[in-house]
Amino acid sequence: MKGLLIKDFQLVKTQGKTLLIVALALGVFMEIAGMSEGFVTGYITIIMSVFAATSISYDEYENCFSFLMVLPVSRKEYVNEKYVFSGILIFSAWLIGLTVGSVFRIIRGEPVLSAEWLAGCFSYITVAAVFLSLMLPLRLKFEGEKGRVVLPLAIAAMGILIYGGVRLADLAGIDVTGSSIKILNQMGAAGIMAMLVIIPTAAAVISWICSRHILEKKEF
Amino acid sequence: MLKIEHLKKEYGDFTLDCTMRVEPGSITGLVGENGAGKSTTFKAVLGLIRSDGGKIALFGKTPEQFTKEDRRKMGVVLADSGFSGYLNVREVLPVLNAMYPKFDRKRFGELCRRFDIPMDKKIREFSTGMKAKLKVITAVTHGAEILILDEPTSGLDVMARRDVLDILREYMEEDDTRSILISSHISTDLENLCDDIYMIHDGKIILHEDTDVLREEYGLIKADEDQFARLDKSYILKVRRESYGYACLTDQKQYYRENYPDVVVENSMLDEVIAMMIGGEKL
Repeated sequence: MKGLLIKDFQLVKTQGKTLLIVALALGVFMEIAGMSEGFVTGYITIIMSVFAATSISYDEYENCFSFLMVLPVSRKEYVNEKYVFSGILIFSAWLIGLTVGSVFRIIRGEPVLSAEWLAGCFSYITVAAVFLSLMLPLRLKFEGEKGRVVLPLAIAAMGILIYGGVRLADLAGIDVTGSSIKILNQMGAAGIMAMLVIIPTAAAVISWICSRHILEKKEF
Repeated sequence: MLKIEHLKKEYGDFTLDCTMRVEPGSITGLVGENGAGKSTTFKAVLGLIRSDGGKIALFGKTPEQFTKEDRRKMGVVLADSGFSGYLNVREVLPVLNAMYPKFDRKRFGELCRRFDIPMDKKIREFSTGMKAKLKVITAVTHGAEILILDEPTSGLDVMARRDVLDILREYMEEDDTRSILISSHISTDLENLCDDIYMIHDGKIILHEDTDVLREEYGLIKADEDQFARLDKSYILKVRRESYGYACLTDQKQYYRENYPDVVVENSMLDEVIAMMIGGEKL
């Protein structure tokens, strides 16, 4: 796994560095422009999670996947590495975003150790983890052109599902936003934090099992 | 070292049925046209595709049983695949170092310098020759016991092909228990390198012979109608109608030279043997 991690971080060094700098610059600009709190943290985390999923495209470039599979690396190990790599990448991006966001709060004279703010930031890593849990098996399943359209399609499908669900609930006379806030209030801070940990963990475990199964069946 | 028995794989109307073996210390060639089944055979041996039947045993194990250690004993070149083009050679070095405990960084560097492989240029910007040489250099510098090379000289000019074949010869000279399985559609590459050659056509092995036997005993008889009628057909493998009469492939050219002095019997190059085996008719 060490060799694969080195390979992926070499790609981060060459391909992801520019992306991170642009995301950071844009995030900082939006913070200065008065965007909502924690924007920079969320923006960098989500952008780098997209890059983590894209690392599979780099492996597919010029059919390089076949070559990776004849190196001393098992298919299981390849999948494990992708999850470890993605985890390290989004956590690192989140830490950078959190640091920059904290600096902004200090400049504005706002408390850094605010539970509300930290929980908000933590939710970004949850979103990134759920997004990657969806994307990694999809990118392993669909190669090349198909793989490239999977990302916008998956986002569009999620949007339609959420919007459709809310609209349907509205039509049925259910106030989704109000009910959600009520449920969250009932859960309390500890409950919400537990949910932010349990949901991405469960998504990642299910995703990892699916990815291993997909790669095990794949022919090159 | 490698045994393949009736390896089967079906793709639509193409059916592979391949039986061959690679002995320790020998270089075995697999020659055939594009689409004959060479890459499918290699992919099955390496576990990149699942076979539909038959047996493959490398180091006594099936591809499904290969461990990391087994993979380290293989040096592989795939025709259409290599390291990501977004990396340069300097970035590939630590990856190889981490994957292969026996990776010889010094030798790798020497070979890169000798064959003008740039260390800091992205691999996607390499010429076809540079990419091919990098793949072969990677395969021979981590102490592999067997090289499995699918079309390592494909698309290369004469000089680049010679360089690649030189690297392979040096690899064999370092240890006489090593083996190479190499495929090519350029038969002259294999003719001068291999100890034995398998010929594959339409998914089937149609000929297996030692290169020395091919060179010394195979020949092409060129006979007119009368000469052909008189010929003993016992050692004629394939016949093809030509403007002058018949071209006949034999594996006993000395017999025909001695008994039919008026008939032209030429030494056959591997290209001609392939053309006759594929295009000729059996008597």
